[in-house]
Amino acid sequence: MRKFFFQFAVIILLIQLFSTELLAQRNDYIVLNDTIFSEGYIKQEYSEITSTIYFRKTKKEPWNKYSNTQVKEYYFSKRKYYAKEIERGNGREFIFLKLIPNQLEGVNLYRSTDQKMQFFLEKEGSIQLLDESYREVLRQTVANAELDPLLEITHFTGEDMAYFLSEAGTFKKPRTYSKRVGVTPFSGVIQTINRFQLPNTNQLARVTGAGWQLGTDMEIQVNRLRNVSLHLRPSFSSSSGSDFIIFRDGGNAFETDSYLSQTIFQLPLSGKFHLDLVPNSWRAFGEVGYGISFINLQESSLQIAEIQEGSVTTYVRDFELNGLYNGFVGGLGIEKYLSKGRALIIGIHYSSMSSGVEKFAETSMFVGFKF
Amino acid sequence: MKRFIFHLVTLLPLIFFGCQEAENFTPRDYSFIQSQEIHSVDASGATIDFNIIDPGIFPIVSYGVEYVEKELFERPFFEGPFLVEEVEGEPSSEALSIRMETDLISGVEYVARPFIKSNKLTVYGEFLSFTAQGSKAPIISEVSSSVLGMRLEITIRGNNFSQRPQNNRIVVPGLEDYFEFEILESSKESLRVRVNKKILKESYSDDERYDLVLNVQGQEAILSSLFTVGYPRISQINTLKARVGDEIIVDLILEEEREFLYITLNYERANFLALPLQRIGGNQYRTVLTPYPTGKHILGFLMEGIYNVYPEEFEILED
Repeated sequence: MRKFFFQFAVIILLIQLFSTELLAQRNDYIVLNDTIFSEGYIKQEYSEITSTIYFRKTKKEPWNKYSNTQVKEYYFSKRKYYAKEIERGNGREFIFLKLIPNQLEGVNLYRSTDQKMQFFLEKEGSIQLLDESYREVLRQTVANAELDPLLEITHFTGEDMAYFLSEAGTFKKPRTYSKRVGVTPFSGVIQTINRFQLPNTNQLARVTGAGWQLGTDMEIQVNRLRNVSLHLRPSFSSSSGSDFIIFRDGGNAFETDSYLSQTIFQLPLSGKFHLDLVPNSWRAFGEVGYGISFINLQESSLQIAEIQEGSVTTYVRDFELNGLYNGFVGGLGIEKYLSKGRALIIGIHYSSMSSGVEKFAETSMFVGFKF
Repeated sequence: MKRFIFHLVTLLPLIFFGCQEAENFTPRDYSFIQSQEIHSVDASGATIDFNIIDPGIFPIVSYGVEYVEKELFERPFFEGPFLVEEVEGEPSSEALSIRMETDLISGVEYVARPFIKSNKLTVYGEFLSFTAQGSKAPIISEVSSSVLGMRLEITIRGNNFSQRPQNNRIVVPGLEDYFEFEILESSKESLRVRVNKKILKESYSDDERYDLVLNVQGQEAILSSLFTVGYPRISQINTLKARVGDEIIVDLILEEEREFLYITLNYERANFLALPLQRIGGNQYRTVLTPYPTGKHILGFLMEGIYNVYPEEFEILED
């Protein structure tokens, strides 16, 4: 059944890819200055990409060469290109620019076809080259102070600037803006609970320990509003603790101290939902996910007393724990946003994992700083 | 805010490492001990080390080690007895070493465990095993009597005796026909020995002296010219002539008090007379003459099967 499902998925994927390629070619078009609109096939030559394109209506036709003075617009590989007269240090010139779509009406963002990091902003028929003062240009273009926090984290990339313009175009009310990708080193104090079976008995021990934790939270926003994110949160912890239990086994009474000292490498993958409390200042979050933990037992001991009539036998044993655990992770917290998208994060992270009959739970109170 | 972050970063490590919990022990009523290792195994014994993790709340009266052959230990339902090295009193430190010096046979595997005794409770550590290379030779320091025949029991003191009575063997060369020795109790430092008289030695003197040879599992201790031979007897009597009803007082050569002591007349004849003796003090005893035919009779002393004739006759006078 699984094999069939896999084969079916692969076939569907191949058909999708193949059809996408066909559609891309069929949908390519060219708009000449005399407004003739023709669907067909387009070819770009990088050596003359700013000035020339090649077009044919069918595959049997030879390529026809068009200059940027003849072509007003063309559509190639799901991207629109426009012929624009621009100024970029070598006097005014006519070149093809690639449109970077955004949702702010009346404002177009273009990328140069021959230089990847050269952008142009067009508003009300005027087009200008963006340089290091691009934030000021964007601020004046949108004229919305509520977007200043977003502008601080808008980098000189087509994606960032288009996102900023789209936010301006769809702005309804203030909300917290966060970077698409974030890294948050954190540290905290932890409480751990190890449950395991005492050797040679049916008795379960529950050792509660305390310790510290260091880690890094790597996040990527997965929706346009950037309030849902995916997190990979590797951490290294160290804890130790003990437990005293009294039990009967095989007719004898036992009183046992269990002690362990451990280091834990945890790798959780989780989804986080953010909720604005005060836009661009306070934001709460909750997360759930799945994780694995590697436990390295540094030290372990059982101080066992076997109590019989008139005598006690005492001995000390060490014990082993499984190394790999997996299970649920979750957490809650609050983010205090600072400038440039940075934030101080305080939260509680919880994990409950198992490995056979052994169980491991870790609760951490952490402080992090998001860059 | 920068200052806050600075403080946070500097304080966090202190908070974190303060969270680590050291190995701890939950105090209990009883002592908690941990067997460590057995070392210094040589021809004179072996040493076990153990730690007192917690002394408990009851005063410790003694501590030591129990050990036994592994083959014996592994027999079903084995519950002892163990060989024991025990030290009276409270231990002076938490780390203790006890030397096992007796009953170890070279090449034999043993198991050993430490113990601590407090009021009505013995706490044992874990068993450790080792292969012995031998134990110390016995040493005799003191014997409770140097006259064989005088006592039913003698006590031999010294060191490194076998704790198992059957592993101690006593021989007195030259007296094998007259005495045999049975070890009633044994410890590392003393032997309680029953001296059985096979037959009485008719002639003996203080000049004839005999060696004591103690053999403990092949190792010997010899005390040269220790023993002479002698039997309980009358040394002095207040009169050799008396009437029925008269009091008779005797002084005895005797090393130990017995319940049934008699002076006898004609003991080796069918109608002998046995007069029970009552102690007056020291080795002086009294009795009263009961009815018996007048005339001279052989006087003797009888004590638990030992009969010794007095060199002079005793005469009963008419009333």
